[in-house]
Amino acid sequence: MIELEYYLIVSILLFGIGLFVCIGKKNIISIVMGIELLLNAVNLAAISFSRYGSEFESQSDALSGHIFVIFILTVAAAEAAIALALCVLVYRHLKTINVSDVSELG
Amino acid sequence: MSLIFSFIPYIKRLIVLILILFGLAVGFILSKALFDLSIYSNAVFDFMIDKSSYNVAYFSSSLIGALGIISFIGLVLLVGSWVERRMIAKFQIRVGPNRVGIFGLLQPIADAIKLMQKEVLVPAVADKLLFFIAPVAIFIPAILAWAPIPWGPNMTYLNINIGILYIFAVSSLTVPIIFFAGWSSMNHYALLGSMRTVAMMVSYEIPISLSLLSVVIITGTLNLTEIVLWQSSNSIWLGLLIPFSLFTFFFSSTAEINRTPNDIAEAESEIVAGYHIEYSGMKAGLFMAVELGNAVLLGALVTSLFLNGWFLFGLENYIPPYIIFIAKTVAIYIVLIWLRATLPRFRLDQLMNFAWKMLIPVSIINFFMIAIETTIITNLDSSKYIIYLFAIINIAVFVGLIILWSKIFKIDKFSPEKIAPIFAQKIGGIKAMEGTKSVD
Amino acid sequence: MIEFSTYNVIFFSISSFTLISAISVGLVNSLMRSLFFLILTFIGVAGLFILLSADFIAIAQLLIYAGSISILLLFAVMLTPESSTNNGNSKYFLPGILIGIIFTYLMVALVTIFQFNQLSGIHLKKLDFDNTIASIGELLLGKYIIAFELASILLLFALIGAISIVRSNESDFLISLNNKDKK
Repeated sequence: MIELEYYLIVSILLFGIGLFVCIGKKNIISIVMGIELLLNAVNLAAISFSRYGSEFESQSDALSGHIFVIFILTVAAAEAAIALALCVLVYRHLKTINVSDVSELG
Repeated sequence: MSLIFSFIPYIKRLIVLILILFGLAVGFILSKALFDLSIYSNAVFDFMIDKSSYNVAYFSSSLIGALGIISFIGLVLLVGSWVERRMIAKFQIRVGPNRVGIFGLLQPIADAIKLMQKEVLVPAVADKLLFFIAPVAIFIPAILAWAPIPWGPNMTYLNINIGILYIFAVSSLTVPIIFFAGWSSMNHYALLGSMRTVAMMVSYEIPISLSLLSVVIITGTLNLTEIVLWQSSNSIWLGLLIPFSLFTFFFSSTAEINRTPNDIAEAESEIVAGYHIEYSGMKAGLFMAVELGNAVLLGALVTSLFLNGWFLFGLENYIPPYIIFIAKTVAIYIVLIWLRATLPRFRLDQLMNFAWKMLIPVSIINFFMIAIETTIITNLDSSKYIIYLFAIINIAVFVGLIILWSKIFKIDKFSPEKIAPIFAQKIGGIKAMEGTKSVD
Repeated sequence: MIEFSTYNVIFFSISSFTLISAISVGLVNSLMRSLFFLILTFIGVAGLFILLSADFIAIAQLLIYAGSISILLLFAVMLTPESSTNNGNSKYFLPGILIGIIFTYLMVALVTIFQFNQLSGIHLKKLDFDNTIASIGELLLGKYIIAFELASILLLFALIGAISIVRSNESDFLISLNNKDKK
């Protein structure tokens, strides 16, 4: 029987891959992709806790994990929009979006 | 003798009439046996559950249903292109395909054989992986979106509580696929076409979602079957109750599926064929097939959301309900063909203006009105006829808003004289546009 | 040990699909391809949500991540053309792999050691929701109403912020053209 641990391990693996993409890539857009992977891993963990969790008073309280995920989705959309706008702005000024080249102030 | 000869031009029509009558007679006999197709799937389930486990029985019975839907799509893809070409020929006072088979009925098969024989060319600079995946992957959402369509009383293949959201989510997956198809071709026209598609689809998803939200808030459910049942229990078609939502949904969907008044993405006279310019042979055929299938899917959606599904004034008790459903779907498809034959193509800026300056604000106003009406309907449970009053009010407001937006705000008069190709330069090296300062 | 059942087969195939496409996001060298694999990852995670009987969240995942955020990323890739096809590694590539592996190892060890107080059997069946969407709606507009309103304000600010960041003199061109016509 598949239990909570399996979903958590998948979520952790996804989080690890997200960390690797965030750190190991120099393109800003790749880093944003890595952040999306991290948020997806967190979503998966929240939903699996909500599914297998215990000791809720009512049935609808068990869905609190779903509500968390909805807010994470909202924040992810806002974050992606702002990050990509910044990315376009950086490209317009410096003609590059490699984080290693964007190292000086002003 | 001359009398007989004078009948000869009408003989074809006579044959068609006899065939139709014969078909009706056969159909009446068959309709008793084929009234509800879900009994066959249930019979398979009952047969298999004695032999093996629940999962195998469930899988095999659902396979039967899926095969039914996919064979319907296949039939549509075969007959649909013939219907479209013949209809357009009638509109343009030509004959249309009439050589292969009787009335040219075998023309789609001949076309398919021709397309399969053609060499599949791959550009040397193309991104091979995405180039190969795109025409295959675009089929997946086109077929998946058929799942929650209610064909009859027990004949919904995927009766989920989030039917509308499901269709909306699945069909939004076509946008990146179309973009990958255009980008991986490494062709300027393909890139332009796919950028146009993405821009248009993203902006037309907002009016679509607003119009669907009106449907959802008035029926109180996202399930397509329950929406159909709501319409029959209140004995009104939603298309009459909320005409502006019907118009918005229909018009915006033609933009989503690249039908002709809005087929900016593949405008032949501007950017040759848009995102599938580099595809040849059966791959281009797949894109065209998906387009045709999506047009019929739009018909099915409009039927179940706005035209009361399988109900037709009590006729559904005598002929199979799915026949009524398919008839309404085909009627919407014929309206689409009519639009294609009648209307010229819009410009990209006209379409964007229409979406952002007309459809979205009017949809928001419409949505607020429907929300108010819904609270009145749910709180006054005794009066049934208030819905008809609201239908008349909504139609009046629909006409009034259209007049307000077209005559007073004059969005149709907006036409910038010069449009600089800023966007085209931004997306990276449209070489033909480099020297030009403006495009008229 | 794990037995062979339909649920397990589906779970392992979907999760391996998700993880393989997630790794491909980091390893392919074209940014477009990595975007493609990112979309596949989102779809795989949506499949896992369906297995967890979270139907609305799965659809929202498809709609928002695979349908909208991927489009945002597409636009960002296309608006920054010269570095768009390059998904190069930074000088922290090996440290990145190392950090990922160490983190994964520690957390997996933690999860396998820790005993979770979890439901199973009949109690789990009770949480098999027929219709999550009504309960989610009640929670959003009841218990979590303030967070819901704040989220809408956040989205509005993000919209205005993104537009005001990207806006430049070049894109004012069309507006100035219109003003000139009015004069």
